[in-house]
Amino acid sequence: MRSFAAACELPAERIDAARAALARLPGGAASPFARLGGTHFARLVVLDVLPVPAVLLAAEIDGDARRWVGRLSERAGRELDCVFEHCDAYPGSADAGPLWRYFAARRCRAGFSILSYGDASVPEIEAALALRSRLREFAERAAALDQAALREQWRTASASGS
Amino acid sequence: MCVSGGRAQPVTIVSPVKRWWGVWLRATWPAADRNPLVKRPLIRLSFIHAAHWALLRRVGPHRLRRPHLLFQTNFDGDLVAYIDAFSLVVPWRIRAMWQGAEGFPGPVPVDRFQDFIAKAVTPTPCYWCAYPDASVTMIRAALELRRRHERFERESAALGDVEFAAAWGGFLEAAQGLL
Repeated sequence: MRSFAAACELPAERIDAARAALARLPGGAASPFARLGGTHFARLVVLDVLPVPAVLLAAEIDGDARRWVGRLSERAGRELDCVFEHCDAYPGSADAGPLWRYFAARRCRAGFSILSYGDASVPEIEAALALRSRLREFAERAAALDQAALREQWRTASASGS
Repeated sequence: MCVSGGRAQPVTIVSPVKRWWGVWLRATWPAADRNPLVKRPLIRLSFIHAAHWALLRRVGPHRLRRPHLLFQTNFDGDLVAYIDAFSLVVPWRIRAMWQGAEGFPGPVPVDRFQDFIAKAVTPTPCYWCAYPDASVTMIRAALELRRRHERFERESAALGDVEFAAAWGGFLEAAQGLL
């Protein structure tokens, strides 16, 4: 897991419009971040307390930041544009190259980080959580099984991943 | 509204800091960030998924007159408990981050630190978490369980029914706290 953050300058007169754009973004399964893959957490924040207001895009991601921004361009461009069109010099999401250069030039690199599960990727975490759930269910069933049935059901469960 | 954290909650805090404090942070962060002794008590708090501190000295082409400390965290539970833990369990690490921030009252007494944080929090209206039903503890348990499961699968593959039942009992007993 690595962090990626960029603070993009926002004219004071566009603060309310940027906030309104953020409020209109869908959440849950419809969130633009849901389409990206390799995204543990992500946030969009209007930083109006800064002397130069900004929209902050920040995320904890798997893999290369440039590729992640490329996926933003491909899969969440419309939503990105609705927010960042209020920021100065925003090039639009249509072309991943200028988009990456725009965010890279505004990058806020973390100086100190706490990461509670090291290098585990989103798919690894999801697989581990699913396995935990299956093992709990299997452990409950296993209490009533004789040795032969236990072995057989374990083999079947391992083969099917269930 | 674009909020879909589930168990995980975001907090975003921006604090202006004295220029010399910015110099201090830039000088000390590289070593601190690589030092497990510095990080271990924070990781042991067991409710922080991921947290970052960054120093903002410019926004786009605009240089800020004073640097600003940007703190972002993704955590389980509520912010009051989070700040209580920061204040009581890791006060010196909190001083090492925020001592030079404008208006920082120190980590103790905790109610003044709570007020400082409450005033400094910036709303996070758009937030996403890939595993909204999972806490830090659950994820750590699941990752450890997966590692043990892989070993158990390898070691039990050739066992007969009786031996497997015994091995399964041992695996289950050892993994109880992770399930």
